[in-house]
Amino acid sequence: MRWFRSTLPIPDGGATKSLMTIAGVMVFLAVLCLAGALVVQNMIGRWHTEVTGTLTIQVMPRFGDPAEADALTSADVDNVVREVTKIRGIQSVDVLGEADIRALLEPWLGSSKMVADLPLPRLVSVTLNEGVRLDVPTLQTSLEAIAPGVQVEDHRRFLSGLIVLARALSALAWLLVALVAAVTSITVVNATRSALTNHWPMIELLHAIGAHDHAIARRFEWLGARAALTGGGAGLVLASGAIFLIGGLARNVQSGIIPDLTLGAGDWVALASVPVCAALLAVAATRWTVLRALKRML
Amino acid sequence: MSMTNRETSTDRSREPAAVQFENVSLHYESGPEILRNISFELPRGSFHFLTGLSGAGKSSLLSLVHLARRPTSGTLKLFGVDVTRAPRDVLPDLRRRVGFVFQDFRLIDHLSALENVALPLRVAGLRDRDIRRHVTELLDWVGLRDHMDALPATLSGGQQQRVAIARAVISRPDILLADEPTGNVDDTIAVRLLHLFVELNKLGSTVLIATHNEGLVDRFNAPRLHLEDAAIYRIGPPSGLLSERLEQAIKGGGSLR
Repeated sequence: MRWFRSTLPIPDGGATKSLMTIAGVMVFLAVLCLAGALVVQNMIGRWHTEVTGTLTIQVMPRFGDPAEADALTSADVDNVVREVTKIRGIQSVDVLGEADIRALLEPWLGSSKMVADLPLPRLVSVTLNEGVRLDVPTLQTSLEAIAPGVQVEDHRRFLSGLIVLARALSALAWLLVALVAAVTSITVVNATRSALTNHWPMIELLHAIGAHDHAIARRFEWLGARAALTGGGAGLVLASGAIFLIGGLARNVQSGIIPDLTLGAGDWVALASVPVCAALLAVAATRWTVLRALKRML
Repeated sequence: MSMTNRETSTDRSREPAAVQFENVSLHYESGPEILRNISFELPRGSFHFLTGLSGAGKSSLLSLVHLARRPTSGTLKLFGVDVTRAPRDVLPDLRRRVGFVFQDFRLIDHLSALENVALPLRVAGLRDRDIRRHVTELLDWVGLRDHMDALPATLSGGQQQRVAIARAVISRPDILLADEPTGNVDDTIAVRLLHLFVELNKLGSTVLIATHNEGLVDRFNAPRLHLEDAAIYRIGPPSGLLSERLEQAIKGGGSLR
């Protein structure tokens, strides 16, 4: 640490104080953007798994005498299950009970009492082995022969638009992170230039008495890194508070419309590394600026 | 000061000169020539004054030796190293072997006298306790024991000058350059300061002092390099007062062409 700090007595000036504030704001923004990007990426990951790993088969209800229609529909379901089970690569086939189906529809159609008399389609959930892809149109055709009106839904059509949107949002969030990093770099460069101007007589003297450029730069790197870490740490704490708050509000909504906004342990490690990245960025920008200025001297 | 002589005159005769100018010219941008085709050398352990009217180029010549700039043409060697062509990254180590007393002192306002003097030792990477010991000893020697923690702004001109000189000599440089080092002090202090340079010269430092104080120069028996019209002339030492060792150094040097 002592090596990194450098013992050259170049003072900590006002430039590093403003850098600390700016680093705090930038890290706050970067953490929020990154959290957004990670949430969206997690969502895409989950959707993608659902799309590639499951199918839902909707068996339409038969009409007529209720008891007879129900028996016919159940027979259709059994035929569909028997047919699907024969296919290679199927991990499981589950028939959703009527209560489950009504629960699924409740957010859209109201309480189960209101839909009690509605003839509902039966749903068969099919889970595929990892890496297995089925030819959905062919399956649809073969099942229609044994259960008229059956529909095979691989969710792809429904989710593909959402995935494109989510990917665009994720890209936008990463772009914002990159912009914040760029603005931070420019700010660090300007703050370093300001510090260099303030301390130029001393730097000239240190240069004149044989200080190596790297030794002088190291002192400024330390000041920049410390400002970025301190301000960035504060920014991280504030941003984490904001993320917890938004996550809590989203959970309170209790609706299938809002996706799961929680972050995993790995995501939090990534967020915690933002101030460290800001410090490394500050070190690099400071070093570049100082060495460039010193090279103008012999 | 607990210094020991690091070199013998026999060693020196085999070594390249501390400073060697070969047909060196210097001008700034499109301005007139400050130095024109000058050649001379300062053998190791020699003591010279550099005189000339104000604006004659004394400070410019010192800045070349101090590696603040390169000559426009010609060759300048320090300790045999051609610094006109040397890569930039070898220059800091050479600069550490050159002490410089700036005309305007260049003390750092926010540092105490002790910290100002300590700068070359910090640059050299000495430990804090060694730095404090060396600096305390030297500041005591130049009569500033009671002002070690004083900021430059609270010191008189003469005291500031002594701090500047102490900073230039603290690392016992092989070459000591001084630009009008007695400009702000009365004659008594000036003589005392010059004796400090003489003592360092006795310990092996090559000394070059730029001054326009002719009276002071006359009191010291050292050869003089005189700058006039961008050319340099050597003026031999008058009958002198310097120590035997300094006289030997002077006899061994000054091969002006």
